[in-house]
Amino acid sequence: MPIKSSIREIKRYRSAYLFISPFYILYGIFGAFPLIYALILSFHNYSGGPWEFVGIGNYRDLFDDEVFWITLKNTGIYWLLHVPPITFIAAIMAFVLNSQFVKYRHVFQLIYILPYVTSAVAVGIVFSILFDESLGLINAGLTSLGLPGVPWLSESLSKVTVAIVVNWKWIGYNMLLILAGLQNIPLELYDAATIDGANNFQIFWRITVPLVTPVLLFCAIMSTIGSFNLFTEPFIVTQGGPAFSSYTFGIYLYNIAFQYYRLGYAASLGFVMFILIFIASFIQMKIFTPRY
Amino acid sequence: MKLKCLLVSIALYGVLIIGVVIFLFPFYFMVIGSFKESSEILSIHFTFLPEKGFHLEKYIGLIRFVNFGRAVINSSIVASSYTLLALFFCSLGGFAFAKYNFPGRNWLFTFLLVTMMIPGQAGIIASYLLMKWLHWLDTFYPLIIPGVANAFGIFLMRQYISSIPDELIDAARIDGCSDFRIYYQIILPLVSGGLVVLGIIFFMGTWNDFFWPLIVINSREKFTVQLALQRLFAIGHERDYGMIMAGATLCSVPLIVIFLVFCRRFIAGILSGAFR
Repeated sequence: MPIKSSIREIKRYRSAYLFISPFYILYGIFGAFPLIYALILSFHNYSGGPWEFVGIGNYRDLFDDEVFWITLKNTGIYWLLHVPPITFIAAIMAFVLNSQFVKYRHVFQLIYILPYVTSAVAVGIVFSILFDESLGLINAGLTSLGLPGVPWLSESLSKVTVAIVVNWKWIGYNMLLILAGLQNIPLELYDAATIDGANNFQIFWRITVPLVTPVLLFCAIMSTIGSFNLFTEPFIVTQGGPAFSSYTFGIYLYNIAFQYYRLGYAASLGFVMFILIFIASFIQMKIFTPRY
Repeated sequence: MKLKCLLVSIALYGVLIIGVVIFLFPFYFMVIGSFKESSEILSIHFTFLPEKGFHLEKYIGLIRFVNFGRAVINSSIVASSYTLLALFFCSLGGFAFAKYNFPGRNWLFTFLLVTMMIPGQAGIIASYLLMKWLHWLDTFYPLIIPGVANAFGIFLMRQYISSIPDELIDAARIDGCSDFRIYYQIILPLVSGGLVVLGIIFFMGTWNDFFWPLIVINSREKFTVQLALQRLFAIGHERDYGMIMAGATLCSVPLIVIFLVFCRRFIAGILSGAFR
């Protein structure tokens, strides 16, 4: 009887199952299947011809590959140049915009969010012209102020330049998310604290900060994933160079797969990236989740 | 006290206006550049207005010589068909999760949330091979089909649809409305705000996507705007910077216009906490 009745239940809701089925079908074909297939592929050598089983050979080669370690180091530096500044600046701007002294909030929000709407290719192109070392406007501006020009695209600074472009694009969006967090704090909390005699500093540290921490964490994790997947901006601005100095995992994967056509090797890199993203998000979650 | 208020205001507006300059200048540089010659863009003698006035010759050249118009049409087709299909499937799925208590619902929904946390890039090589087998390389299908029913959209639509009172749906059902008609005639009109927010995100995501089209599209006639623009910039020597700036402008302006039309709703959607 219970089996029969649960079948009847399922039949009763058949349109609901029908409505959600596209997601599961498409995820099965275009999401889950490629993941499993890539995992199997990562244990083989494959360049369009026959598959050759190599066990963990690709992974071993990867860890012996100097470029892998350069890219990992670059990614760490990108993370430092990207996540703390973007979260910090976005938080400051959100606090400023949330202030009662500021009028025309909508106009400011709109202007700050425009870079997020613009394509990374267009942004990358405009900035690589602005940052051009001899003919770009930024160095021209510095020279006219009597300062020396900065070698923006040199080995030592290429990562900073890429990070500036990426941060420019994403600060507004993060600011909007943090602003949403600030505006969701119930006003009663502030009133109650004021009545209890808390000063502004206490209100900030005891109410505002704990209540926006989850949003900051969300922003930080999104930016972390972004710094692992960095592709378009460095691809346009520096092509990963000079001499791998701005290489990212995205460019590395693209070059292995579609320049050298070593698909098994690229699949193993894809999985190492997958695990690294997981670890990085997990660590941040551990650090930033407050324990009371 | 009044003086203090004034000083605080000046400081706050100072910060905000510096932000405005930093965020708007590259746009200004891009649009003005599209009316200039290369020498005027790159020279250290930057002028705030094009020396020869506003002429559309760079745009005409872009369309006539590098077939940029084709790329704009391609991107419009891809982005709008993806957006319409994705809005349909995501709102349908979100409706089922929000308003039906079917067996296995919680389990299926948890699965959906878990897929959102799995970075899909790990499988990108296999996705490429899959497209090859399906003979979908160099077509628009890989850009449209795989993501039309996506976890993020279903999740967001479920949030919006949950706030519709059940009584409305019950009443319609008593009147003999089919499930699909309830979706079509009652739910959809009531969540138009959510559809706008999600529609902008979908359109923007497809229009601006670069990595995936770079992998699956080869021939010039199939290029999206992003690919066409990148190719224009990557030719190396003999770059026509005015034309590149015109391309970048054409590539950004449609989205900015769409965004300006719907920005109130979009920002309100983000601010209402729909993204957590």
